[in-house]
Amino acid sequence: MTENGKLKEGGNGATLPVSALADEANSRARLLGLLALLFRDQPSSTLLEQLRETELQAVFAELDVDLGEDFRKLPVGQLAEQLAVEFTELFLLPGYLISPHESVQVPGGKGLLRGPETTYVANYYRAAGFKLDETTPLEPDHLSIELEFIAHLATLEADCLRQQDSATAQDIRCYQKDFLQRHLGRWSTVFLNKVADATKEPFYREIALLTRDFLVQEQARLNE
Amino acid sequence: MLNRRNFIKLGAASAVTGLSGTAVLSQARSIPAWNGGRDFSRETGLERKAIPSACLQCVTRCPNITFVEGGRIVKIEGQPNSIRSEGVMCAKGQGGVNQSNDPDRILYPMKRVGARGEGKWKRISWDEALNEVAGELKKLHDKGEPEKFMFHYGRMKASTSKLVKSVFLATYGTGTIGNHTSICEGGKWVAQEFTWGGHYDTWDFDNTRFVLNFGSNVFEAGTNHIPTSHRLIRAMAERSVRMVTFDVRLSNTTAKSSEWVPIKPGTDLAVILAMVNVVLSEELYLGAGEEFLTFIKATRKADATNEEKLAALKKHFAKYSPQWAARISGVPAAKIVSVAREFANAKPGCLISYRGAVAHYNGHDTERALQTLAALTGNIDNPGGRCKAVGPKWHYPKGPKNKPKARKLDIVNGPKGAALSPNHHMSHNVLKMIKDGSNGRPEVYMTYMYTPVYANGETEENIAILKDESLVPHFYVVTPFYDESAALADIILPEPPYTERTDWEDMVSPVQIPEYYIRQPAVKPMGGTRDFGDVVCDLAERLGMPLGIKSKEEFVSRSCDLTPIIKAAGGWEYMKKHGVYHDPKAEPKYFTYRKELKPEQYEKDSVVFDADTGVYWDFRKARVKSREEALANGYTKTKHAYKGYVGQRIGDKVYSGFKPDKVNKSGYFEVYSNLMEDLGVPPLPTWLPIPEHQKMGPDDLVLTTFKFATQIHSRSPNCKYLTEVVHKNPAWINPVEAQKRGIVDGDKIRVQSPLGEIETEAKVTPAVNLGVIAISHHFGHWEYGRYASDKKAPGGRDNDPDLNRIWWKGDHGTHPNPLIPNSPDPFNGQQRWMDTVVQVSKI
Repeated sequence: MTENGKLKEGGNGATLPVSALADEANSRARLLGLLALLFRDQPSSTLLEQLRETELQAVFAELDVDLGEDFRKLPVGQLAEQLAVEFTELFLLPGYLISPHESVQVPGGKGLLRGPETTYVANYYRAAGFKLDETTPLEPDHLSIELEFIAHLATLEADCLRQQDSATAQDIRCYQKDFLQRHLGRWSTVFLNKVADATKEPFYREIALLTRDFLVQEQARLNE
Repeated sequence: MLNRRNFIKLGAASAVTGLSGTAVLSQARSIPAWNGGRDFSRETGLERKAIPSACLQCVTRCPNITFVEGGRIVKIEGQPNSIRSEGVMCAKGQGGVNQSNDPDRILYPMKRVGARGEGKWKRISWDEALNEVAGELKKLHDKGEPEKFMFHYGRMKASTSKLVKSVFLATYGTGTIGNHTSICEGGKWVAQEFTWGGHYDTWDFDNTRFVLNFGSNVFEAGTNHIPTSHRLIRAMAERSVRMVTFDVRLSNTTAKSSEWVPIKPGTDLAVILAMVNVVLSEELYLGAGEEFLTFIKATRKADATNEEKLAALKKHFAKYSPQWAARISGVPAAKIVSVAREFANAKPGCLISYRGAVAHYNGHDTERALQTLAALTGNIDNPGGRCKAVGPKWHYPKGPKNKPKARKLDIVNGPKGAALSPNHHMSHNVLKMIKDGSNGRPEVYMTYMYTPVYANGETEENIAILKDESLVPHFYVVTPFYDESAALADIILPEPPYTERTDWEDMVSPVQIPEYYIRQPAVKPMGGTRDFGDVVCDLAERLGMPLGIKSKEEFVSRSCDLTPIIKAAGGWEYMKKHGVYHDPKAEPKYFTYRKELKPEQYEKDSVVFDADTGVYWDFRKARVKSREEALANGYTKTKHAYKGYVGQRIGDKVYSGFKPDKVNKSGYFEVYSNLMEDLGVPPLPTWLPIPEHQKMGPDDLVLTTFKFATQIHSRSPNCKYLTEVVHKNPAWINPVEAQKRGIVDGDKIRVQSPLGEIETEAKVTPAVNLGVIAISHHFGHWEYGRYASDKKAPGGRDNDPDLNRIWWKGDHGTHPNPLIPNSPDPFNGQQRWMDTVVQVSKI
């Protein structure tokens, strides 16, 4: 990292202008926000329509992400219904669900819902200056909230870069790296692999693997 | 391939709108500056350093995090990354903040002026001190009498133990080395050596369904205190695990148990024998117990069938009916039966015990009976049961290659015949042996973290012997604090408290996965104090026998490199940064005895099969010259044959079995001990009444001693935060017993034993059984600094404002040890803390 806030591009050593870095951070935020949404709730018809848009489909293809025949072909209402059933079975149905919570999934932990890690994560959000909506029924260490947190940090990073506040931008990168290291990164791979193995829907398998790989890559990027 | 740029493309695609209105997190304030996980004091703004280290307030040695601010230790907390303590830190450990800052700690070497015990000292340099000590040691060495240098330690473990004992003392050539184990639980260890081999039982509370407790105060004290007790609390809270405690007193452990069964002191053995009777007569051994029977030795001959074993056991235990036990112990027969059934049916159940059961005349068979009860219910080395200890295996620099054969004076095992097999010595009798002189006397008596005056019984005699220069010509004491023994020394060599020392550590892990951890100085040693590890390296140089090691830190750092798993993790640098390490791939070790050996392990030239016992042993490891000699003398009769133990043949298989230690036990779990039979005592656990209790008068009581959660042994009352919580030890007496003697709460009372009497205060409470008087041994100091005794140590400083706030000044308790004889269990040498018969009267 150079003194005037320019970041070095990983591979070839060339620097990117700040605005491009800010755009990248915004894109990361939006992707994380989308992934958070997909793990928070069954996808609405509107969302599915957005996902089917040509531009996005092209990017998915480039990434070798194949969300499946049904995703491409079924009428959107039927697709939403089908995915709702799968979402329920994957994350909500007693006896079948794979609990999307850090305190349950983190290797070496107690496997408890609302376990010690839940408190640590809630404290982390608070320490970073964030407030959690009291009315949400989700536990603070739900995957979608942890993803949302990193998304917010990425947005803040973009804002700071645009305001030429490179010091705070760097701080925010530290928070992202730290949160992945202490929390999300410790259980995301294990959990997302479980989801990919368990699901019958190519949609959820691909989303799980995509999320998994993205988070691994993020950690690697932040560790450089 | 998926790379960074492409993912970002995904986010950049216009269709992705992210959370758009469904966010649950919102920014409440600006994100604070990133401080890299550093900690700052709220009051002063000064940065606090968090240093991972290890406690040593008690032998549990929990990993800790020590916070330093402005060069002072300000807080000690648990280490969340420890798999042993999981971030928990008890009061004692947190009270460790007071150690470094104790205004009465000794900062410089001191030499006495005037007679021993006069209390007059002059400060000397380390050069002067060590030249004098080395001078005396050299004299002995050159005369060919290295054994006349006796080294007697109290608390010395892990890397300090290896450097001092295995390297320095071994290089010097003295084997006259004493420990303190017999005043702790040496007898428990001996009993285990006669049943399952290597000592130490660890308690798997994480997986248990029921806990049966005889005489352990695990919530307040214990050798693996916090790592086990916090798991027990969790078991009780999360899984409603019940614990039934047999104790003469309502300790805090008993208070948190599901049930307190008050018992007459020294009769736990009767109750346990009766429980074994119940398990056998009601066939509660079916299932896991019966499976384990294969590995039990229950008869004289090695190769009995399970039917023969059961028949022999049933025959022996038939006489120990619950009704019989009830008459002896005061515990109703129905209670004995119901608890035995509950334990046997818990599957698994955890059977725990400590000094309350074992520090008695019959302590040996009490622990053996406990082992038997656990064995017959299949609760040995199983998840949820009483397990074999698992700890880290550190490698370390061995020092000079050619060490002399050590010579020793036979004064650590008590008088001949006083105990049949004191495998862990009789430390409380060492001074008596020195007085007696028949086995020789050391010329130099050096103690390390040990206070023979205060910690043993017969306080007055201890003082008299140590004061006598004709009995103890040179008395050197290594200690951070001016305790009652240091007060009688010729030279005091000041060590810093553990907060300023370096070690690798190795205490047992109750999850059956070893944890490696270290201790490092949070602040540098204060004044002129020196880590004793550094001092022995220095002494060795002065003696002309350099160790090849310059300091304790070097010893520890090299140990990290020599221990493969630690070297791979990053060695000393890694350990200094993280404090703890365990192999993330390690599996917990249970049922280690069931491992079957491959023929190549026991069909070797140096390994013979002993038909009598069924043991395969490597005679070369036992220093036997030939196979013929080995077979002629046999395993049992060959000295130290156990060191060559390889495996146990049971039926047509060879198992690793229960590896022996200290005595030539077979690889069976020996409920029947041929070794004991050959020593002239009953081979199966047998009732043994306590002689002085048979002769008690109607007004006699039994004195028992105990610990508080906030103190440890003799050496924590200098910690002001702890001593403010508890600083006195009134005698607990039941209201019925008090009324008989006209005593009310707070009265001054006289407690008398055959040795003498003390005057103390009565605490009248139903929290103690009839027939018992209970006095904690932490208090009654007459030295150890102002917080402990109101006595300023020589060289003590006044730079502590809390010295003016000692609101309990003058109220420091009365030491009970002068009443207690230094008297051993006749089999294993354990100090019999809980047997003393006393008379109590109002003053």
